[in-house]
Amino acid sequence: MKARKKIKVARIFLHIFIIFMMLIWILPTLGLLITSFRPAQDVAKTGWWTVFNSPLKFTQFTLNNYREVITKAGLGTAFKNSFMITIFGTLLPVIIGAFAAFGLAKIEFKGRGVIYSLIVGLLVVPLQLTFIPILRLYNKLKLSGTFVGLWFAHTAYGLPFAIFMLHNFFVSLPNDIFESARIDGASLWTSFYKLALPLSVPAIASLVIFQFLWVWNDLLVALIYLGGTKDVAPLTVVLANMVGSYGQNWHLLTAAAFISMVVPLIVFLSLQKYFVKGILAGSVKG
Amino acid sequence: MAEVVLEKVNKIFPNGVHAVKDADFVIQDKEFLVLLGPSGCGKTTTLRMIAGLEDITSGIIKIDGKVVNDVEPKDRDIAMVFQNYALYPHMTVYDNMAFGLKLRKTPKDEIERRVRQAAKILGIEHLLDRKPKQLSGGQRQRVAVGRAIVRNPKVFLFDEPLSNLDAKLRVQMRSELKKLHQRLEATIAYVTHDQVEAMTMADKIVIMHEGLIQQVGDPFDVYDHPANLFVAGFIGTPPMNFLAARVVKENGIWLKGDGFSINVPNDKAHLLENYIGKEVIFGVRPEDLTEKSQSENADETNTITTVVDVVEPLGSETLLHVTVGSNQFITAKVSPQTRARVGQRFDLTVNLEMIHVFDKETEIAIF
Repeated sequence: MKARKKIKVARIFLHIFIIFMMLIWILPTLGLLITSFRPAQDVAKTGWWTVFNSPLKFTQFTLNNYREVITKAGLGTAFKNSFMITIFGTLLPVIIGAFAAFGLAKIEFKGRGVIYSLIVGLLVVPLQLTFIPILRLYNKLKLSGTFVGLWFAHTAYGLPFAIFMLHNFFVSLPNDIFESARIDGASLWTSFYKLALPLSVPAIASLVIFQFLWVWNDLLVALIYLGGTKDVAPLTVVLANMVGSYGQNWHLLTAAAFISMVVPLIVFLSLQKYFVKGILAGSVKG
Repeated sequence: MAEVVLEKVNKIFPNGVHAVKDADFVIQDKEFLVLLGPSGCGKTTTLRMIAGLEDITSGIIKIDGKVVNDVEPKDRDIAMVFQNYALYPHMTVYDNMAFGLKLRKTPKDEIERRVRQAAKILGIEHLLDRKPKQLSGGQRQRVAVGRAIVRNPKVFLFDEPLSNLDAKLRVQMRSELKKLHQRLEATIAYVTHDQVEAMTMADKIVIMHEGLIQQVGDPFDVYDHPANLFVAGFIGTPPMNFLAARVVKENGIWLKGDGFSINVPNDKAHLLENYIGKEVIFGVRPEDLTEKSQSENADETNTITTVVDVVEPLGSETLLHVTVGSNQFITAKVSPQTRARVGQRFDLTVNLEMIHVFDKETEIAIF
């Protein structure tokens, strides 16, 4: 009885601690959210927390920031550009990575260990190192300033992690299943798309989320390879320019930041359900 | 259905391990052959070579008269049941069974007919819409067998299919597989380390040890006439008892060792002529030792005096673990009415017709 009470008390403290940590974690985002709904003059005068003095006074909030950002700052084109960049910047590395990882995990050939080590080794190469040589190459090939160039860059930067992650997953799939399929008459391609792919939906979903967030939120790579031209600039570049061009008008930045967050949130929430454990349960006796 | 022939088949893995050495045997048409041996003996590798999942280093494998050394597994017309079932976890039982047929572009109604028929044979018709994770171990096993049956292959290969089941289910599936074999009249190669499975199911047993085939024969053959010390010790529970002995000639041929002296029957004595004065290994199965008081023809030529260490009543019989001479332990299977008590001297009579003698150097059976 006593022991149980002790555990209960410990649990309450644990919960209080977790809630406290969560509050700290969420505070900056909350400040950003509230600021994005406040008029410019209020933002300049007082801190966002002052809204809590009279939280029900709705006249202190406004949608003007959002209206202004969407209509004036050219976010529409930026959104479209971000989508163009992110969709292919995600699909290409995931698809190529899945092929490569399957080959490295399930096909026996000489030197596959070395190749895999090299690929994993690339994870530690800082991408900044690659900017100048690649940009020079892109200028020669006339790829700089194009989406295609950026897709290739994101694919190259994303592949080592994609292969690493999917390889680890494919390796964990029991060989028996693939051997059984081989006897059943499945080609390598059939084994890949009828067995390996459906079984690795959780791994691919998490990889898609990672890669999508990375490309969507990327400023550096886009700025380097695309430049700041409006017709190709993604959201991140436009957002960054806002601070520069509008100076102190950072109330607009808060609204724009929230608009740019919507898409990754939707992607995350919609793919989250695929993070199910135990999709393998029952295939082989563990 | 077809015959499978292995001729001098060798397997050397890239790391240098010589897993299978000169494997040479035939699985006759409609025969149930069991590859038996302890783990690491090369039996699974042999099966995988027949399946085509493992390349062979040298030798010839023929299925139905055709050399299949370089034939892909899918073109060998075989089906394999894996130890871990290897069901496709994201497919229903129906799709699992239909997968191979679909890949072979079998017409849809034909697939449906064959899957239903196999499901009926195995009693899993009600499970066709379920996923593997919703099935029990025994049911998964049946699905794995069903997946093999629908293909109607020339040869069935089983890789320790019952080792993941509990003891009771194993006994049940054992007889079901046996029945299935009779019903399908299939050629089967079956790998197991369980000698009871081998004895109960096999038409022919191939016993392997460290990559070498030790003996090929029907269950009674390998039990009653083991080819060497390994086979003798591996087949039978409890295993055969072995005692060091010397062959002595005085009024016939005798096997004499520490604490015992056994007269070799005349029909076998001549086989030991060359061993007179030499050390051999004397073997006798626990069931060929009886309590002296229960034996009608007990005398000094066939009796061993022992001291009882442990009495294990099993209900239908009782196992006695006894000491012979100074420090040799053997087991006897006696009637449950035995009067043996721990610590007592106890006389056991040897059934001389069933004794075995092995060459000490080569470990090969003399008889």
